Amino acid sequence: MKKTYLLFLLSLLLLSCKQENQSEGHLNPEDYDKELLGIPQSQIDSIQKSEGNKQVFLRKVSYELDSATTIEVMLPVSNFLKEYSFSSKINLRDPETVSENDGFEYPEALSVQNTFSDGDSDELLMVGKSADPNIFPVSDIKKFNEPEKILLEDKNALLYVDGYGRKIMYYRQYNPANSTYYLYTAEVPKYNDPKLEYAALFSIYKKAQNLLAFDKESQPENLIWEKIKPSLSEVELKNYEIYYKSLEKELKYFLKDNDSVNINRDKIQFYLYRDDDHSKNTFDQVTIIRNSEFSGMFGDLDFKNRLYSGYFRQIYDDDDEFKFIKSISDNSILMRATHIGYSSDAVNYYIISSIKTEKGQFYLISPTNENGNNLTALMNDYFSKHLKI
Amino acid sequence: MLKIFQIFLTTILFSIFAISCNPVGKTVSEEKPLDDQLVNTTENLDLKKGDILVIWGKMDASFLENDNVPVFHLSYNLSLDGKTIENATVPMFSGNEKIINSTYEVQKEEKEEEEQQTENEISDGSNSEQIPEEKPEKITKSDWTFEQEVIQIPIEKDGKYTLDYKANSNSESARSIFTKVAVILRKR
Repeated sequence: MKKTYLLFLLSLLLLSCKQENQSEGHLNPEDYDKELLGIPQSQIDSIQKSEGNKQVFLRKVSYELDSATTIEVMLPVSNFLKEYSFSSKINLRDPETVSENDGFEYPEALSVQNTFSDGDSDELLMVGKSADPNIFPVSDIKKFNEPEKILLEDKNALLYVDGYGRKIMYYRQYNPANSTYYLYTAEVPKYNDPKLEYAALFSIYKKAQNLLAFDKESQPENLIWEKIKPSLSEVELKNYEIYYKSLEKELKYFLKDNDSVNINRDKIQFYLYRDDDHSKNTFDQVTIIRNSEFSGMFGDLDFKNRLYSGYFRQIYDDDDEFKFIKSISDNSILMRATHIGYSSDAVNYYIISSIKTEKGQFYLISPTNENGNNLTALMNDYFSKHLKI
Repeated sequence: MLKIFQIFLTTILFSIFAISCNPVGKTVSEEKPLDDQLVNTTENLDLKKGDILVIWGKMDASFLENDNVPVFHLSYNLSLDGKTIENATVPMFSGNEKIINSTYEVQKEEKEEEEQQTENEISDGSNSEQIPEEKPEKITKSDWTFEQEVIQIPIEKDGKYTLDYKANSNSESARSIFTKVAVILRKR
């Protein structure tokens, strides 16, 4: 009696909370497609078009697979290759008939990453040699995996959504000149927004298409933020904005006196600080370092500053070398820091940007490459002028 | 007897039902984990003249030593249409007042033989001198979750407000992965 009563109450509770959803017993095929895709096909088409129309800024990336083989590919400026020791998530062979010792050698896999890649396995590039230009054809991939809804299919590409709603890409290329095939596979991470996921998918598709476009390398003079920005995928842009919005607010609302903020994420780092002395005396160390073409040790900086004591002391000794390399713009300079080690010296490059506002004199520091033109450097320089990206 | 039990049960179940299906409360922004490197932002806070916006801190700490909750400093900036209404820095988790939803449990004692040399840190961590030759004090470890009121901000004008905030602590235990801090916004 007690039990029935309890059950009754519980089911009442459950039912009353569920509300409208319970009428959906099963879906008709149209609704099922809609549910699976997340947004209408027409929206997917327009996202594909807009990602496809974006200009790309490519850089040649070399990677030494082993002492005998170095591969070269073209990747967007914000991307790089990383070692990866597992094989693809996409089945290249029939999972039913695969046995462990049949002598099949999986191609070498590399992880393609950008600043915001979460795991190593989202985007993989597999490279191998074969005399067969049609190796791993799209038709096989379609058979060996479970595409629920195919978004795009041609001789070399397969973009689909699987039964779990995951957006997946397979893209193959073959270069007869060196009998090498390149397989690019990707699974878009979950973003809680299907639009972003499709934007990411088609952005990766474009990346894959340009993998061997060696004639499309960007000229250095084109590497400025105003030009690069429209080429980035929505996802990347949104991610970068999170950091710069935060920096903007630090500057506007929170950093007082000699306050600093250190953003130190896996692949992106910022150090923003206010220099009270420089604020009061309208002093700009970026100009001083540039004009003097400073070259010496951290301890030699002969004006009052928080440059060493604030940021660089965490990494360098005061007798480590600090050298002006070049001016990036009126606001930003490229510096080289060398930590003198026992066996070898560690060399790193930094962009230092000066930000003058009515709130005071601020400086923004980030690690960069030897040309001071990685994406962070481009954005920092732009931010120092406009306080937004 | 059975009847009383039934009434009792009905009441309980009914109140669970009322809470889960129809949350009446003053929470204006749900619990949001604090990012300790970035400025945290809650936008579109719909507030009316006469409302009091209350910032609550939520502490979720495991393996807390001697119940020493790390003190944080919360800096916030409340703005309306881009104009700052209030900007201040206040302590968070500093006293014992205005604590709600507290659950506390002492960790089962492990082997006491294992004498850990633990610095007896006072909450702000500034005490770095060693206490000489004192019998090693017994360290109790606990799990403690609670919410505590941080600050009340009276609202004088209707509007959609933006609250930006960040928090940090000098305390060692604040950086522990077992210390989770979140912010909840409520209004009165």
